[in-house]
Formats: sequence, structure tokens, C-alpha cells
Amino acid sequence: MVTERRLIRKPRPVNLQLFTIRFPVTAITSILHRISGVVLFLFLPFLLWVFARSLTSPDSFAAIQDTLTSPVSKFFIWIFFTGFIYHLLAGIRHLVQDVGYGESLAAGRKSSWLIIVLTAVIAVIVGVWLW
Amino acid sequence: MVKSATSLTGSGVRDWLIQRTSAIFMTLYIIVLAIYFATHPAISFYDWQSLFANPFMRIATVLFWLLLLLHTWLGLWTVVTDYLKNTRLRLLVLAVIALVLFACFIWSIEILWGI
Repeated sequence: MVTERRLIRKPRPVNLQLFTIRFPVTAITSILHRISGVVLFLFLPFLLWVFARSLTSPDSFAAIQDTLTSPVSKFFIWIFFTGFIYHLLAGIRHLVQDVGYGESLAAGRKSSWLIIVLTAVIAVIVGVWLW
Repeated sequence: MVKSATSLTGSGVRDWLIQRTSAIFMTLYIIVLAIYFATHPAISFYDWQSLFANPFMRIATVLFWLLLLLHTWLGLWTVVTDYLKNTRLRLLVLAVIALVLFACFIWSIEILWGI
């Protein structure tokens, strides 16, 4: 790594002004997959806590049920669900491409749009169900 | 070639395999759970508790949390190594994430064997 640095005359240009870059839909699905993954990780301890409370006693089970039906909880449940569904669908897209299907650019674009639309539809359905 | 000291297995192919395998198992587990919710409209505490007291479900659930730990590590490792080029900061963040994930896994065992 140190030897590589000596060979470089000057650093390569970097453009981090994201709003000046045009992103194909496949790039959007990719970064959303990454973001949804991180978001799911942030929910992890909370998920375990809910799970723990639900199994401790009938009282804590009832208490958790109450907590989960509050408006604030519903909002976060909706966020979690949408993130999870998106991550799952994008992950399945990865798996399908891993076995060789849909790897062309046209197919990749189509499946990108498909998972975005599917997630939006499911997000609306879950939203309606929650409220 | 230098092997990464912080990736899960040090082999890209092996990490890739674990990522996919864990994803498939977790998906199947969640489908089973979803079917349970769909077929049991009103779940009491006792229904819920006996579900996880079942030895198969208990083992499958701990397996789920273990695979989730591995899957999450692989994903977060990729993200962190992409964005954090400062070695000290990167190692610190990776260490914190590893500890959090391990703690979560130990917690999941405690939850399931505390029934």
C-alpha cells in the first residue's frame, strides 16, 4: 500500500457532489439496498427487545402489544417493514442474477423498476393495514 | 495477495457464499413465521411461548439470529471498508459493530433458553 502511494504522481480527481451526477435506476436500487441494510441493522437491538418482552410473561406480552399499537410505534414499524421488504426484494434480484438470469442491462433496468414499484405498492398496503 | 484481517472468512468467495446461504435460510424462516401469523389471527402469550418452546423452532430461531449476525457483518463490513479509509477510525467502527452483533446473538440465546 505504501509503495502504491509513491508511484502515484498526484491523486485522481474526486467528485463527491452527488447532485451533479446522473444515476441510472440500477444505481438507485443498489444504493437503496445498502441503505436499507444499514437501517435494518439499526433496528436490530430494538427488534430483539420486542422479542424478549413478548416471551417474558403474559404481562410483558400485553404491554408490548400496547406499545406496538401506539402511533409512534406504527410509524417505525412501517419504516422497518418497507426497508425490510425492499432489502429482501433487491436481495432476491441479486440471487436471481447470481444464477445467471436477468444479467443484461435491459433486464437489470426492468428488474430495478420492478422492485421499486413492488416495494412502493407493499409500503402503501402495509401503511393502510397499520392505520 | 493480502488477506483482510477483518472480513468474515478472509476469502471473498466464502463470504459471498455465506451471504447468500444465510439470506436464503432467513427468508425461509420468515416465510414460515409469516404463515404462522397468517394462520393464527389472535395469538395469546401461551400460543407464542409454546411456539418458541418447540425444540425445532427454538433451534431454527437461534440459527436465524446466528445467520443474521453473519449476514449483517458481511454487509456492514462492505459498507464500512468502502467509506472509511482512515485505518484507526475504520477499525474502531468495525470493532464496535462486531461487539454489538455478538452481544445481540448472545442475547438471542438468552431469550430463547429463558423460556
